[in-house]
Amino acid sequence: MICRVWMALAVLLTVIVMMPTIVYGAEDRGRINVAVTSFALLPVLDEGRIKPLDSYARIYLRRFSGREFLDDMRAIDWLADVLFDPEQAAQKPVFRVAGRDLKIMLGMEAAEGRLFSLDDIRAGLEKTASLIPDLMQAQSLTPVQRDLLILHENALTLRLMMDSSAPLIAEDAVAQAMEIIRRSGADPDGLDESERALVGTAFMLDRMRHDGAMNTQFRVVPPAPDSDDALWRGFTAADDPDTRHYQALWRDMIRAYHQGDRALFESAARTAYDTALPFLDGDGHILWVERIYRTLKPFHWSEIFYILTLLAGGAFMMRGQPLFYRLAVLAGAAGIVAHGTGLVMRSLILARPPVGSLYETLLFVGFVMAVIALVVDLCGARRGYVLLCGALAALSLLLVAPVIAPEGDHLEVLVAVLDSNFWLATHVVLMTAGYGMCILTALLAHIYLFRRWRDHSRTFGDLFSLCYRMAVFSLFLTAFGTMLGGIWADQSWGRFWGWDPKENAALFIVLWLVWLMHARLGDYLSAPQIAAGFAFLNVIVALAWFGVNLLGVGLHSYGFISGIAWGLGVFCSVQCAVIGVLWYGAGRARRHNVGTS
Amino acid sequence: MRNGRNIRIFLQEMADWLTRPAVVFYLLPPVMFLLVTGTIIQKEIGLYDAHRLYFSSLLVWFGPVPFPGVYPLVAVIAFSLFVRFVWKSEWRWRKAGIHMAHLGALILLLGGMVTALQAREGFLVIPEGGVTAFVSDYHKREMLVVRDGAVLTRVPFSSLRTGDKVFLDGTGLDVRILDRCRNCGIVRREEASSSAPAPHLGMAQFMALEPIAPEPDEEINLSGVTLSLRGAGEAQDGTYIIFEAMPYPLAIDTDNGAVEIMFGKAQTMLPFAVGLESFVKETHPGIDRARHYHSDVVIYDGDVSWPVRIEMNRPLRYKGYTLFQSSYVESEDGVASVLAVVENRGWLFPYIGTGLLALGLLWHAVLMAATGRRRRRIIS
Repeated sequence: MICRVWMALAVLLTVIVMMPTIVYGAEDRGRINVAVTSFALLPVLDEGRIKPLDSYARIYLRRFSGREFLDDMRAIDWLADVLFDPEQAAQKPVFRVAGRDLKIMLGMEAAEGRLFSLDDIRAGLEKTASLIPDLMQAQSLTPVQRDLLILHENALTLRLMMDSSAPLIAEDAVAQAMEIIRRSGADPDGLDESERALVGTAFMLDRMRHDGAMNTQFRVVPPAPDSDDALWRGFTAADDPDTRHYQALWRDMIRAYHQGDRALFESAARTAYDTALPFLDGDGHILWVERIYRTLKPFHWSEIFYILTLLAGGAFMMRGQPLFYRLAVLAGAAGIVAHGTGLVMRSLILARPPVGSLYETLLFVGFVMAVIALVVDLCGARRGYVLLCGALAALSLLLVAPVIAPEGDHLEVLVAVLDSNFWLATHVVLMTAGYGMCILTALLAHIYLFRRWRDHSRTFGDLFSLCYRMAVFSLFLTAFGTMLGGIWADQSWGRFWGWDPKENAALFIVLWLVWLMHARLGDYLSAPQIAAGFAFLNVIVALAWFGVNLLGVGLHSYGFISGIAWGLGVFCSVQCAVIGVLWYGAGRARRHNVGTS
Repeated sequence: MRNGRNIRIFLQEMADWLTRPAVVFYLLPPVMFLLVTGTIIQKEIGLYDAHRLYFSSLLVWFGPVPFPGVYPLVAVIAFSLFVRFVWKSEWRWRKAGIHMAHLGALILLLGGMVTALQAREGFLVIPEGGVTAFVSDYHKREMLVVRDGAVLTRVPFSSLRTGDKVFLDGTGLDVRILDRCRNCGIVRREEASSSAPAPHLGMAQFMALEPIAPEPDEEINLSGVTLSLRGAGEAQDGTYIIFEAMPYPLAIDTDNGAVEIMFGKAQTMLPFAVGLESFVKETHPGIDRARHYHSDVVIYDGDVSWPVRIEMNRPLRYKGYTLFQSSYVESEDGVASVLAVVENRGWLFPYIGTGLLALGLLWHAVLMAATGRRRRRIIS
């Protein structure tokens, strides 16, 4: 039996590990598979930091289509098409046009599907172009208007990406035209028909080249060695030999791409990579780390392991066999390793603690909860429910994270006020760890109430005691975190406490815990009532974490969000209802006990 | 003798009552209620009013219903903590964490009180190459009457009432407040609904001030006053308007010399001056998002001067004042650095309080975890 379970797990894991290879393994699609060349690692400056082209491609493809791959190609292949074969790229369906109303606005009512190419939506964009200036000025937008605006922005971005390599493509044609003109003189009558056509095309391309020189969408050329400006550039005209050499390598890539010459393509890409490395100030390895991070997707792995933890833990709770507990611990530990690896990689890439945005705090809090749950369960009575709570909470947060960042994981740079590794590593880490501890306490309190409801004859004192001890740790983390936030505010804004919504929300968690502890100390509330109070921490933390950010006031403006009010409202309402039912049930059990005694 | 004993018993009972957890249990819910209400209402009325109405008042009115404010509630809790700490603490290692946390909380509350009573904050706007010692208040406005560079009268906006007379000794002028608005809309004179008596002079010839709903952000409210002036001669007697950000002051010629009437953010003077050598804003490469900014300033105090760099998260503390890099202003004339200035004698309290509170809670939490583990081992 045991052997069969292990074998089944091994097969499952093998399938999961091999899945990406099975899906993407086909090397030859009639053109160069750029994903396995150095091209994917070439550095590009985008959104304030250097990243590998593979990341750049995934981010933009996700922005346009909501996915990091297309049916028949990876993001990096798509980017290669965009840069080297724009005509082909314009026919690739990458734009998400969701909803009938948007399709009607674009005049595409009859169009089937959700993804459309630039050519498909071109007429619709022209038709709606006159609306855009007003929409950009509007105070509030309907969902359709917002989608239309985003579609126009995305289409513009794609056009800029497609045009960015125009200066390279144009250069050869312009050089040939200049040679013809030099040979035949300025008189067009001296040219034959094909030469005239070439010269005409060359002039058009020359215009494109000038336009492309202004294009900063694709900053892939390192700064000139002797330049004061350390900014990476697009394919602008340059006199210095290093830049010309770098651009020549890109021209080689274009040529090799069209000829399907993989060796030449790799050679040019590899040389370009080696040439760019010295400009990264010794941070070249970060490109590798980011590439691996994007390819491995450690958080997806941790999701899978947490699901396995839930399955094995659930089986243990039902069957009581120690093997299932061991499997749950193993899967939980693997989930933590994958989760932690993801966070460490993010820290390496961004050179800061991985808690700089709401999205990142979700990832971090999930990790904290999983670790605490595993440690508490192993150090405690090993009954599995703490581990289950941790895995459930961590999995939930990992699944919720993409909702907070619908455009995907950009690995964002920080605003100036947050740019302090010391305070991020202390205040934010403590505060978010406190959130995690509170959520874990709340989940345990749910279990306590449920068990008291189901089993009238027992008081589950050990479970209540565990809840209480975890609440004390929650108080330590949230109180210390809040006070450290005050000291950070004193350092950067000049006051320890300013009654800002985010500060008040953090204080509320502290006061709530203090209140419950004093209620227990004075015996003013019964154990189920206190447990219901602990369970309510879920709602309080959700409101403190996200709710106050919806207000859109205060100095914590870098965290303002919108669009989650409904989801948050539903979560809080459901939680209140669940806690109410559990509290009522547990209270009935208590009355029953008093009655029978 | 008997009375003395009764008083002692009474005090003993009071002390017993005050040291019970009941004080915290019953007083924290109203504090939490005010905290939630004052936080949510900020969306509508802004931080300044929410702070004034909910967090720093003795009594909060919900319609006609009074409710104790945060200050009295917290004062009772703090007193209870103090009494418990001094008279009712069990000085045992097992309780050390709780005592330390209570002491930390007390120090934090004491620091909060010191700050609430005396802290002042404002800001300096210094253009590159400029020197200033004047600190503008974020919220308070004032009317200022100046003659030959000397301040004759300084009237806080909060003291100005419609119909009030402003005394200007030695000028022969009779100034009366006709109207005031915390946030004024500027309308054309012919569209004005108010009926200020003619003649309308100065900027009042062309425009009038009309009150509009205050903005949640108090700093961006445009306050102003409509006033009538007599005693300056027929040509100058009439109705005037003065408001924040007026391009030039209201100048009146009197027999005793020219008088200027100004209106703006209340200003105080630092005991030293600050000059801005340069302001540097660094952005993340390729985008406009600020990564860091700092001001290289020179402090002039008497005959002594020295250079200092003030940057994000690194303020300058000098003579009881703390100067922070707050923001910057870019204009056609160049860039100006905005430094927040805080005078707070109680700034050290939170540092000590936080340390004690954290140590105490950690001690208590570790002790509880260890006790639980021991108990489980005994049971097993």
